[in-house]
Amino acid sequence: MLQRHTSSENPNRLSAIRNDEGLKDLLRIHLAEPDRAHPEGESGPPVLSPALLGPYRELETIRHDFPVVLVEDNTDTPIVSLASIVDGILDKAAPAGIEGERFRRHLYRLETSIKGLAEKKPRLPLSELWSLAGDALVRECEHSDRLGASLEAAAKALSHDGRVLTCGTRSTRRIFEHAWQPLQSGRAVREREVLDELIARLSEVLESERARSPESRSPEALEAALGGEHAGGIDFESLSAVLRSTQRGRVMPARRAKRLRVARKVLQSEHALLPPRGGNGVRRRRGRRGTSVCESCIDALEQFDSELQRGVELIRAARVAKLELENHYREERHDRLFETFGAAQLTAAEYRALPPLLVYLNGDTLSDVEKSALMQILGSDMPVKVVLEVHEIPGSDSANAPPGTFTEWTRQIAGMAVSLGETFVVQTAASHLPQMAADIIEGLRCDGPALFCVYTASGQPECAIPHYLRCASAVESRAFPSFVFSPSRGTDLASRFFLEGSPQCEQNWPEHRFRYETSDGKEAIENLAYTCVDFLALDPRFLRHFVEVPRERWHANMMPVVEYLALTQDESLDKVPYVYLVDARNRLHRVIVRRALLTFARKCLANWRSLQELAGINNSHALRLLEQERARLEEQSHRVVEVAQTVQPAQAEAPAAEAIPLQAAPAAQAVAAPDSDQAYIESEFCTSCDDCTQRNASMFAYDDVKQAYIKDPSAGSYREMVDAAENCPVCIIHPGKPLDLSEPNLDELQQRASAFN
Amino acid sequence: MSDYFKKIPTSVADLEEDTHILHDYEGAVSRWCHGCGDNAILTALQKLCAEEQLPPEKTVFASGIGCASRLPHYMGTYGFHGLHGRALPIAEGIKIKRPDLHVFVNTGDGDCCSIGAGHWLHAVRYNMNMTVMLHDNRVYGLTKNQASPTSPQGLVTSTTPRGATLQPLNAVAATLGMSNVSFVAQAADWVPGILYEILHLAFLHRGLSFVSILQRCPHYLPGHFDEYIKNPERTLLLTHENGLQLDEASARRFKNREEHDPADLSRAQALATMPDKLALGILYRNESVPCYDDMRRREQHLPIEDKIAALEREFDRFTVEAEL
Repeated sequence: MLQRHTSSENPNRLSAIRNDEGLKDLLRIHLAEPDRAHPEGESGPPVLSPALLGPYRELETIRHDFPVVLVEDNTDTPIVSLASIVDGILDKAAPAGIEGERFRRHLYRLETSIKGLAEKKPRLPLSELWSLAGDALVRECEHSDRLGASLEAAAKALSHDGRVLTCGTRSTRRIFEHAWQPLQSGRAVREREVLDELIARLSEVLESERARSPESRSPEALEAALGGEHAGGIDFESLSAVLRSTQRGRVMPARRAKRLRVARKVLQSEHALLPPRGGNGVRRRRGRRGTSVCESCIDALEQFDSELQRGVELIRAARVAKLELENHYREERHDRLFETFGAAQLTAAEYRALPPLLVYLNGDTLSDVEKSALMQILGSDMPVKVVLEVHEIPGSDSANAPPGTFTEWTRQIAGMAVSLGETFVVQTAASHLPQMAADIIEGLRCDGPALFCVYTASGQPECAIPHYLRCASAVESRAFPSFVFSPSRGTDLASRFFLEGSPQCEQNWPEHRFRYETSDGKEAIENLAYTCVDFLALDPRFLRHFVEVPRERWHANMMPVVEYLALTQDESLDKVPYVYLVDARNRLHRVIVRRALLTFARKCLANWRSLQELAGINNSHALRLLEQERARLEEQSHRVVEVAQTVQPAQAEAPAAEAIPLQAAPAAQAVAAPDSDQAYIESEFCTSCDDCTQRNASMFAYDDVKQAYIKDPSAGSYREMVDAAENCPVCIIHPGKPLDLSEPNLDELQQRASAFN
Repeated sequence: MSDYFKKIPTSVADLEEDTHILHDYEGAVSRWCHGCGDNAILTALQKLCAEEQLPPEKTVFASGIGCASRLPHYMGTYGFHGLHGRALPIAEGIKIKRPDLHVFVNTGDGDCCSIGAGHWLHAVRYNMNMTVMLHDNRVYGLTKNQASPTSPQGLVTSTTPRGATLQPLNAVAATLGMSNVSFVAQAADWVPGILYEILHLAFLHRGLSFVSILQRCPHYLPGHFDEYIKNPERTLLLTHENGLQLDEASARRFKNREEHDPADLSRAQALATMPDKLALGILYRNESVPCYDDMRRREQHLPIEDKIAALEREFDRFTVEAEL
């Protein structure tokens, strides 16, 4: 087995391994296939967990982004974490000094209490949980008056309300549903406004045309218009005759009237499908489905197709209406255009603005047909938003799969969508949804397709690690990095791609300081990296890939996984990778990692490096260019030194005047002054006052922006020129010298002109 | 679905739509005196319309009475030559009913600051989306030389034969002190490049843009502004990255400049009342002041049943119920 991984260039190291029984045993553990004696699911919860997660296992006592409040009636910030609500109250209502500190502690106790209650009573809104938790705390507290006063003041400052949601298997779907509904309601309101306006304006045009028609001036119509009360007092026959005799103006052509009526009818039928005011925003749709939410891409494609036909009709009617209302409809141009109007005539912007659909998918059970439909959606302009829940990483079949064959599809789909270029993409874990709420809203609001790839950890067997931590661990370990790709934010990757959702994104693996106590009772501190191997250690199904090594078997060639991954294959030949795990009593264990997991880790690292390059971090092209440029500059500086050394004696005798000028001569930059012998006008300052043009329209004229210039100086006398200069209210005419030297009184005229030249 | 109405692309047919040149915005031949500063304002407006390609049938100039108020006749657009002092309420009426129209107001110093002063105050407060130009020539010209509210102290006119008694009204400073003011600028007809730039910025502002334009009256006040025209040193141009950008010719001629942030109201008030220099540029701009037409627009185009219901509610207030 060892031969397979060795190189003929390392005979000494191979021989050293063969002579070191201890190292050979450890390498056997590392290279061996996992023990298949325990089928998946029988391993039980892990007794060990990553060392860095040790302090966080009691999550309920630690402030974090969950639970969140699903805020009602707020489309901009529909999701707010309880911790940030409490922080907001502290900023707003905490008194100064020691009282403020007491207030802070009281509120933190309340927050912890609400967290516990939210798990037990998931349907209650924040305001009720707040009261219940507050009452319980006051009952249990010795100084209940102080606590009561703090909680009362805090309750007054509470500005958000809504259902409280903890991080669980269904939290992703609830968050998206909650963000989606108000957006649809808002969209319906805007749509209603636009349709109301178009319909009303079309009706006004049609109604005024009807009022001018002979029928509306008939005695019957006039009587009906005025009401029965006046029937006896007015002679409607005479009134009708008078009105008909005074009728003037043209009647609207029948074709135009028909066009307006047809457009209004289409707009009205669309108006009837709008959701009722104050409803949940779900429009009344034609067809068998009545919702904007689908459970499959194939259904979404089918539904979108029917929406498209309706949308084409609506857009056609809206375009006709707008053109008609703006008096821009030209039958000779537009009739043909609208006769053949179809989906092909929609612009990309119109296509992307059709009513959006939301699709929920289970990434682990997608059929090939569904995958194909998903790619069709992502590659199109359809406004379809896909929430792809990834329940487990690697895929469900990976725990028992041969090395290098872990299911990777769900980890790669978001990156593939980024490469499409015009699809909004968010990849993250359920634990990070609150901090990415703004991106989620942006994706749901954007035109065109969007993909939200969310790791939910729902496929993992239950274990002692809280659900939130398992999700967050996927992002922290680079197994499922968090990123955003928003095509609308710019034209280049620097403006579109953001990796900041992942921790310490400049590094290959995030590092944290880890304190522990050594066997001799001393405190030790070291920097530990959190890798995707640590992440897999949370999954009971992968326990078979971890083998604990007692202290007496430790070897100098054992090294942390993160260092091992940085080695080449030859360098790693005699090394054994390990991770630190802790048990329930926080005792530290060194655990060898089997080879299969390192294949997964290398893939995660390669994927992470690709994302870093997209984000411009350690970009290989830039680094290569930088290296080339550095080499070029070094070579150049060497050459300069060499030249300087050879020419130094000769240069000492050269005249200083041969130095290269650093700047162009100022005179070259100056604007050429007009020739003072010729008449000219500073046209930029002309006030179009007509004075000069009225004096001699052949001599002075306006340009295309109505500013005067001298059209023909010979078209009049020098006297006219000087008079014009003297009378120009803004003194911008410069008469220059006379053209005709025989003109009388030239001396006097030149004397007057000199004031303006 | 609503969004595509706003970005309805101009279809293929739209590409064939006519474009407008300055000539398209010329109306009747001007009957102002030769040399009148109103001509410069007229030209700047025609250039603005051509630059922004405003559809002539969607553009309205409203005015009151006076030399300045003849301007709508000379534009090739719609116009409303109204009653003395009533240019602003007419424009407000047009805007509230037809928010799709581009509304401009041309009013003189007598029209706006005397008989129409009440409307001036409230028009600024309503902050409707329109461009208001105060043609300030400091005299009543159309009615042959009477003192106006902005006439300088001591000016001899037919109504002030011993010279105007009062200090003149500073229209710019007064507007800066009004509630809801959102845009105030000062221009001069004899600096046409700056005048055009200011009118352009005023047009682009969403809200009521008040532009006071110092305008020469060569007939009744010849040489009145010569101290500024002949001495560029007495003009202070207010430039800013968010305000006025200078054209090349103005930059050459006017060396006195100040970087003035249009958001700075207190500095704007100081600039408006400078005794020795004439400040030209954007004095104040606040994009966040809400527009009355936007507020009312939400109420318009109600479905007929909602209109009837609203009317019923209103009329029910006057129902006299029989005593039981």
